[in-house]
Amino acid sequence: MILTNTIVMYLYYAITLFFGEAIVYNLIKTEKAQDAVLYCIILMPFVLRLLRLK
Amino acid sequence: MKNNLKIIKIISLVIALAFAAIAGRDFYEHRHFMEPVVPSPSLTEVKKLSDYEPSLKGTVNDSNVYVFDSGVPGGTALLIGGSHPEEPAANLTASLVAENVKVEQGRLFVIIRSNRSASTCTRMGEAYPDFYHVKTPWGIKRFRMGDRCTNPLDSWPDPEVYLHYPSRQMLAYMDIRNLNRTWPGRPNGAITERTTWAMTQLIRREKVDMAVDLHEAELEYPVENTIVTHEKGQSVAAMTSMVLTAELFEVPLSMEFSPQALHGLSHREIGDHTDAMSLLVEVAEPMIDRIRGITDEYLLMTGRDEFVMKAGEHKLLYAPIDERGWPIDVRVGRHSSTFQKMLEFYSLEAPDRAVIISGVPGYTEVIENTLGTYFHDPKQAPPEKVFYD
Repeated sequence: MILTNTIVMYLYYAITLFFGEAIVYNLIKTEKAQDAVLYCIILMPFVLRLLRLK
Repeated sequence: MKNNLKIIKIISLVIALAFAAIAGRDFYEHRHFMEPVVPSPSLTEVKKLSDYEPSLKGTVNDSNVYVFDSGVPGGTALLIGGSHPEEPAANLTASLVAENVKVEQGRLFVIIRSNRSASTCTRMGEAYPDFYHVKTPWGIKRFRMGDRCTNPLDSWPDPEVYLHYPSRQMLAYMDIRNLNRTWPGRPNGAITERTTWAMTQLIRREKVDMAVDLHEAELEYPVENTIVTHEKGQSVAAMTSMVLTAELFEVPLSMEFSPQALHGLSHREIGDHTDAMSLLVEVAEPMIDRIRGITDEYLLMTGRDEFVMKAGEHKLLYAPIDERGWPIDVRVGRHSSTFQKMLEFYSLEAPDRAVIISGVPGYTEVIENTLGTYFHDPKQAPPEKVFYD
């Protein structure tokens, strides 16, 4: 069960990375300044989780 | 226009990453700060929780277990602090005991930070301070403020519903990270379950007679200023409650039984799954009341809050509160005297398994002299006598 938990946890980190990348992709593609600012704000918790800070 | 957008994107990203870096530095410092402990000369050994559950070795919850053995045959007691690190009187009392105790008969085990992981983050969305400070004669002693539950960095994700083991009772999802919902634990569960399993194994292997788990509670919660006891501990709890209420405490200390159908709590599961009697002690902590005002170190240490007082005026609380609040010295003093009185009555009840201690300041001493007076300077102690939690 410890192994299963660990695998699930790494899958969640993979999901976090996927969404983090999706946010960065949208940040690059967007034509609206307001959306760009919003994407940057949304990105912060994903970065902090991937770096295992929060 | 396109160039302007590009500049806005770059500036926004730089600002966001700068904020993340500033916050990240604080989170990192909080998670990696080590609290020095200078145990009393009665210390005989420092064990680790991984001595009882090897899978904890090298993890954040491989907490220190301070062992004080008098060498005189008697019983064994376990004091558990830090089950919920957002309730600081618990780990502070365990520290106070570890730094001052003299064991005259039997053995005493003290765990100051039973859920270390939960002390490495604060509760999300609550704006708790990261640290709190206790003034001592030699300077300021710093402690980590914590959360109720294990840090998600150490246990993630939570299940949709937490199925308590072995009862299979359904509990709230986050309670899989709540140390006082995962007793008696299991060796192959999540880290919080393995932590309680390690303590269950400690209780079994070391033949602990009495386990005391220290807590604090919001004044809006009915289980307040009380001892919650397993059936095995009823006489010890009743005597302690009566004597301290009659002779010492300004606010009565009540007593109640552990509900038989509510699982995962120390007062129920330790008693059911080991030979030890289990008791849990609560004291009032206004900082965790829902109705509180600014949540800062002042409130944490003084327990003074005008909103909680107002709720008291409207009879919405289960404990009294006035402009004096619930200072940390009062909360720690109550816990200290309660634990000592429990040991006293247990020792009277089972003289062949007695645990007799001295040297620990109680309610009157802590209030008169302040808590910090009783902490020792780690810089003045030999390095091999200083341990870190």
